[in-house]
Amino acid sequence: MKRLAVAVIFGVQVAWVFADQIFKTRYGSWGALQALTLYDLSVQVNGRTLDLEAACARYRLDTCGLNSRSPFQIFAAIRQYETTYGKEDGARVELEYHTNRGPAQKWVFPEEPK
Amino acid sequence: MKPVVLFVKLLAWILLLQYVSLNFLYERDFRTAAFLPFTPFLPFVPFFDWIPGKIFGAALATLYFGSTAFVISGIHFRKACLALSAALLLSLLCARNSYGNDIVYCVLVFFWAGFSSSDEEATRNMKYQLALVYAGAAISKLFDPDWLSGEYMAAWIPFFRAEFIGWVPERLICWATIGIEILLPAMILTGWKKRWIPAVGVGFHSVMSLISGATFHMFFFDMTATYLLFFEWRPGREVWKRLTPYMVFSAVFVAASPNWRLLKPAYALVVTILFTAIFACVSLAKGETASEA
Repeated sequence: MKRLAVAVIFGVQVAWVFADQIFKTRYGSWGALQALTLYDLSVQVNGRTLDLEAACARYRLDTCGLNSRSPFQIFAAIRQYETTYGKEDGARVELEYHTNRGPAQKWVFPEEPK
Repeated sequence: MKPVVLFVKLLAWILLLQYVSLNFLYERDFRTAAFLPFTPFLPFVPFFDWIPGKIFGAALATLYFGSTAFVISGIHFRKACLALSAALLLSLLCARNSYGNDIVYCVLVFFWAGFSSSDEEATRNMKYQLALVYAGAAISKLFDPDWLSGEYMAAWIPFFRAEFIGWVPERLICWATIGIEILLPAMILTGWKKRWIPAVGVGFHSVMSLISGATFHMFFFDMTATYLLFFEWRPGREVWKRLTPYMVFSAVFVAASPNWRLLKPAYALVVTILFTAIFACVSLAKGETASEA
């Protein structure tokens, strides 16, 4: 029974490593320091615009302006905050970023329907 | 003391020292703690938002510090390891921004220490875990075009303060990293050239840390300490006398690394102590364990 449990725990980990190559969240796949993302964040709350520092403080993002894992982790934190704690604020978020010297990209919240 | 017990106790010390140094000496802010946040914030599981923050924080701190004390003292060792693993897992699940591979690794190591029926089984599972960490990292890199082309390293190098690294082609650094991350699990799982495994592993992490000037939170300490699993602990009588060269070496290592000079002295001291402990443990240990994975 114990051997089966050990096999399942390792099996789930291996499966997750491959699955995360699709999701690219970099949570639990041992893909640390996978992508360098430099970003600028602008948040509008109640007609007031928060600068980068204040915006990072709102979402408690450390190493403000830089993420070393995946831009998806920044999206996830903002999305979760604005749909839970900050739901009533009706904030509009603009995230301009580029990953590994790639082209500049933009992500906004509320997200535009695909 | 068996290597696996020594390793687990050392890891508990590493966590504790990092926690104390980061929170009390360096950040002075519990909210931005490297791990163990005292209030849930953006949890992976919404359930944590429903628990009053103060109650949750007090319970988590009690579980963490209590289980750490038991692990270090060796009382109810296996149960304490499971409790410590649970405390760290809770701290991960309750705060998305506190996520770190170093903590995930600690969760799994303490889990294997507590879950396994014997020291031999724990050693074997931890070695498999170590192999999986490297293999997972290599697979993630092999699926990433920026790692294959060297573009990732080209983007990072301006942030490294070790200027000599600019002479090395970016693609070579990326492929060398991937190569070692494939080689290490192959060596660990097959036992090929097993005497060289600790040297390759500790050397790999030391070079990465020297180049980048970072310990990647606890990851450097976690991984280098793991190589104790490949040794037998035979410290001898003159341990303290023999520790001195490692202490000097560690201090030089910390001082020579570009970014660490910018750290506050108290934190640099803690990093030096951790280095000393790890290098000394690895170097004072002799031979190989009877039980091999």
